[in-house]
Amino acid sequence: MLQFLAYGINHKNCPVEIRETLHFRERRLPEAYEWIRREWPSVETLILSTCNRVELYFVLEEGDLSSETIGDFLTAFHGIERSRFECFAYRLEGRAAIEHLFRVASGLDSMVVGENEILGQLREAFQAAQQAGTMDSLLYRWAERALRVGKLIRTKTKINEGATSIPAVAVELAEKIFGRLGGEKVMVLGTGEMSELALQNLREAGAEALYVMSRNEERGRTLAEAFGARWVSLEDWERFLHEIDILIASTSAPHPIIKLDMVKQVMEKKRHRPLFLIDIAVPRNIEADVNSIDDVYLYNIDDLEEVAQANLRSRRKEVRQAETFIEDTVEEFEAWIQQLEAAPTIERLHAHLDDLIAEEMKRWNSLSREEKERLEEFARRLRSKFLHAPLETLKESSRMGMVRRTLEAIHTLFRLKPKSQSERTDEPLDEIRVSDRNPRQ
Amino acid sequence: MNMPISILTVTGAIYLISFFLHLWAFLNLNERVNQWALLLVRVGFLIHTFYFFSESKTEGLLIPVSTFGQVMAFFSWSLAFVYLVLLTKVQRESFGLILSPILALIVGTAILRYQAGPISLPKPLNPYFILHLVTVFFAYASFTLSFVAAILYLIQHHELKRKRGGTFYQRLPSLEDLEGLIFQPMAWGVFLLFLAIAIGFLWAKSALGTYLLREPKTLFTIAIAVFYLVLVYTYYGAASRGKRLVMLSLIAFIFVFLNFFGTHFSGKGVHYLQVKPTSNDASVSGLRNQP
Repeated sequence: MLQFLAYGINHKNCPVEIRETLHFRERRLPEAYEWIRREWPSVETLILSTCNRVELYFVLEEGDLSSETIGDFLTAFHGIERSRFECFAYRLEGRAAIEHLFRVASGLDSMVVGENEILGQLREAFQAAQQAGTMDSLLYRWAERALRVGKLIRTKTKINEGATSIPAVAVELAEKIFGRLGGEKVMVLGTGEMSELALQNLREAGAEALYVMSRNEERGRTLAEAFGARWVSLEDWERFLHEIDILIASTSAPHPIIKLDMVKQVMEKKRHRPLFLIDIAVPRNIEADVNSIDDVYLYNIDDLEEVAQANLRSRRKEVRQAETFIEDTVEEFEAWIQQLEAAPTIERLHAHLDDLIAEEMKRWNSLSREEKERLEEFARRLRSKFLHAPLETLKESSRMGMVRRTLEAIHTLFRLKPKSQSERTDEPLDEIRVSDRNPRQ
Repeated sequence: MNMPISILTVTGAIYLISFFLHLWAFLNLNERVNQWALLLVRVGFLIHTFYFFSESKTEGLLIPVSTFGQVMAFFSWSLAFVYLVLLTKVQRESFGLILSPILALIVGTAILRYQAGPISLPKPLNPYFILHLVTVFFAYASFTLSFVAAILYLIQHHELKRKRGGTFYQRLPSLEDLEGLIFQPMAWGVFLLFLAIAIGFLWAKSALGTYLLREPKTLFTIAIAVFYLVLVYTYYGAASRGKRLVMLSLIAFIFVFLNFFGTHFSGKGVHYLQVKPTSNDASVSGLRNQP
């Protein structure tokens, strides 16, 4: 019978040093797939390896793939002792495995709930498995459904809305003030790593780096050149304040260098066009009172962190809605599997009736050609009408998750020929839904 | 309960339910419920439109405004029309949240005042007068939408100043977008209001032999139109922005409000919508026969 299997480790309980060791680097991925194709030729496999998780997804039409076997493969491939990662590893089967991949694609299993990156990583893993030839129709459908539900959830819910990192929050706030960014002018005071990151994010979102002020001219010029901006000196920068829309301050000055009166004058010159001040310096570079001026929005590092946390809380509220989408998709996927399981029985039923008709037709050899044709037509019609009800019932029971009982009934009623292993109906329906320990809890 | 009141009651109830759904969607960040809420406003508007045409046919008037209730019903219909038909891009949950209770409130007022008796409309009810009515109502509807956007702007401004993130911060559009949503309908409103004033002059001159320049409502309306024009120029022409401008737009709307409702209580002038003692008044019957 069909077996869906997920085996792996993730950020929830596995330390980063183990994840690093088990990570499949892009250049070694073909080698891993080659090994799998050689050792487990009948197993469909997909490897999803990111900084937060290393997971292997399998579909087996028959036989089994034990955790020990998979563990041995990881041990051999990465040169790591099994005992080092085994305690963190999880194995999910049947419905639990199917659901897990859907949750992963939807970002529900991610460190930052709803993050988008995982969907792209899964897409890449999907393509890599396809190229390696370890993916056939079943795993293809499973992964494709996962990608689809991941996209659906991001469209229908707000699970990926709201920035959760400091530079991304800076961009989000800028967009809440200026709308979609397009040419808003940015000035950077100081050349810290965080300010550079924020500038980079703002520029990617559409803002334009205009000035970089740094006490260290060389560093300032380098940063300015990298972003197509102009370096301004410590004595000069104030003159250009009225030209800008966004300011990132991260100097090491021990006192505020941007003061209330200075900003008031700037706002008059700017005709009250909004000014977004991002103060990521410690100690702060901008007087807190500046935020009291209309149309000036001042955020320090704590404020940005607060917004990030609020966004994360909002994302978590969306999880319930996302889970209903996942549940629906799992149901739909299971119904599809059941239909797939019913296919050989349907074929056999068709064949059985064809045999009966052929046998009966032999008795009518004496008929004329015309009469024979009419009889064959009659037999065809009777056959399709006869099959209509049982086939509809099969489809319906596939949707209801009761296909096995119906298959069993059909086999008994029509005394169909013995079934192959993959069609065994004497096993409980839940066989396909076996769920083992789930370390996500 | 007669037919028009029944239809308006259903309309008002739908707007009210839509408000609660908008509120639910807003608080729970539920997009699906929000879509339902917006759908309900559309259904309400369709029923409202049905009321509008059926009353128009019954009354024999192109615009059914022969009672104060009908005036209010027409105003709320204009507002829903501008919101749903002309300003499709503002159909966001935040707009619906503020606008649906306003619509419900105005329809509620219309129901309460529906049987208060007919008002004396100035004669003749010729096309100039009808056009004057339509333009002025649509101008007021545009200003109301501009007002709603201004309220949302202030909420978002407050949220950004408060620096806590949260539902309003996430749900409301950006300040820049909201400014656009304040000043775009405002610009239409200014155009329509000036058009209404000009048409009103033409009508007054032809009907009464005077431009009614000394009428308080005329003067007040011109002042409002000029005030709005200055705001629109300051935004589009002088590229000025910010909270102060938004506050001024709110003040302008307060004047619109006073102008619209104040007239009803002023007790004099052509614009005073005096309620007649009986509904079978001859002049109104006469008006109803007008094409």
